[in-house]
Amino acid sequence: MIQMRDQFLSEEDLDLKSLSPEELESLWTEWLIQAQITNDSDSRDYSHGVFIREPPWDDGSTILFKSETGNQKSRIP
Amino acid sequence: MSIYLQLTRQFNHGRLRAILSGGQAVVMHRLAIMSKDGDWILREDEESMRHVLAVLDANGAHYRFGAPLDIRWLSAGWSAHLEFMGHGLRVRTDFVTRPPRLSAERLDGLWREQDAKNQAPFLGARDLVETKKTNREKDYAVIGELARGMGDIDDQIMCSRSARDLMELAAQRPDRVIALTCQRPVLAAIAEGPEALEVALDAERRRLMHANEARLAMYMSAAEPWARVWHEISREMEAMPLAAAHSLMVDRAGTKLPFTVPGGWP
Repeated sequence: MIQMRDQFLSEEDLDLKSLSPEELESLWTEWLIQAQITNDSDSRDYSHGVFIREPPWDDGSTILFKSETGNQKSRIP
Repeated sequence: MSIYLQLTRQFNHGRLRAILSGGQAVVMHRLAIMSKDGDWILREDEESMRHVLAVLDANGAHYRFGAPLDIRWLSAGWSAHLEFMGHGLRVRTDFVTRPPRLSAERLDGLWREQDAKNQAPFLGARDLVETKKTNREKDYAVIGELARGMGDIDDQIMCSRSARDLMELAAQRPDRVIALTCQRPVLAAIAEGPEALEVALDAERRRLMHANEARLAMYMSAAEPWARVWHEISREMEAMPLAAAHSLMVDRAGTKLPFTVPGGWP
């Protein structure tokens, strides 16, 4: 019987473990370069810290909390 | 070398001041590359602030909206954000001295445990899990994999996102699951079977996400007066070297951005 295992990340993600330090650095830098393509779309966003989006916050278009499983929008009071 | 490792080494030149956290720490754990920005926990003293600002100045960085890189704000859980263009990249550098969900005691331990000779330290798995309990779904997938790699069974029980893994851990060490249930109530659902446990894990994730949303909402609300004047200040800072921009920012933030946020950190 096949034993199923919960999967959080893909096998490609986890394959970082098999890379040499030099291969990891190279892949990492290459990934960062490729990721620049989204700079315009995420220019106002934050991925860390206590801020979510650059001001202005009253422009009517700010979505502060968007769940990946649904669109739950809330605004600061 | 990755720009984020380069920066970490520069930040730690001569003294340990910065621990790589966030998505770039996930890379160092060899789990996934999924973040464009750099996140560091800084040692909370004036010398660290000055040194990090000098490194950023040398890289041509400018402030984004946020708190100044100043311990009066950072000590209350605020975050500081700067960015620069270099090596073909938009490099964003995000800083805290008091990351969410790590106690003052744990933070002291963090700095004590780091090897002062290691110029590129990164946050360990257990602490990274706490910081990853955000309002983003994808962070819980990272927590799930981090938990699998933990050597300590208590840590696995406290951090696992997998019902199957928890059922197995409970079979191996029921005594530890019982002992830890007071700290992690979802473990009580193990006795009800895998489906009930999955429901409980989903509910736990939702609670954590909403708790982080509530935390961010407090800081965003406190930052509203600062947000209203930001564009004007940003324009003033535009042509300034970072040191001068930082002085201006500290001066102006002093009247618009409160040092403390009731209910904020931790």
